[in-house]
Amino acid sequence: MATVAYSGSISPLPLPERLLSVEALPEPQTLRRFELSMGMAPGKGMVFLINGKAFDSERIDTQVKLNAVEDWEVANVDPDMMDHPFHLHVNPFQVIEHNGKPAPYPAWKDTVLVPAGETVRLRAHFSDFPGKSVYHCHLLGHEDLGMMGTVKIAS
Amino acid sequence: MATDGGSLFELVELKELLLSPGEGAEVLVRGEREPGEYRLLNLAYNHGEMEMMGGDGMMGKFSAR
Repeated sequence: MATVAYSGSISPLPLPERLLSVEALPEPQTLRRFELSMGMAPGKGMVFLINGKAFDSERIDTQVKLNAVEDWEVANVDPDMMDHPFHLHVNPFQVIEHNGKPAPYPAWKDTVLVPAGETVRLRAHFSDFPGKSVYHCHLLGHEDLGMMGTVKIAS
Repeated sequence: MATDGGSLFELVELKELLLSPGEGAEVLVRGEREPGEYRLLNLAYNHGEMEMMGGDGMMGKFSAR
């Protein structure tokens, strides 16, 4: 990927002890569960699903109140044991737990890998932006074959 | 030092980092070993993807050796 070459020496620079604060989010008002899976559909062949449904642009899958804090439990139950990177548009989130274990350190994310058979719990604050947005698997092939949902944020 | 969503609170030391499609990271590579050439390697990772899905399923995992 890259080769780093260096020679000579200088006094090492101290590393910063603190970068930017990552604010702790308040406790959620709502817990939702999203199951990522795949299946076969008549006339379509392989489809990738969230909670058993393939994407439909005419459907609202998730209604969120503006300013709500929510926990989303994203479970990869794909019988074919494929990994799915879960991506949420607009609102960044923090991973709270991975397979029931607390995240090692707080971090803002917009995509998190949900490996086959595993569950990630993420927390988001849906502030500032009312309207429709999407969440989807970040593997383009899976997204195109249905693994996407619409979230509507409204007051 | 940062993920796809922004800066971390403090530096986290890692030997390997797995990035799935859509994820990002900012890293600082320290040059405090013996002078020489060090390779950043893109490692193999099995994410269960089938051949028929095409080439967009690449995941990168890198490591300093």
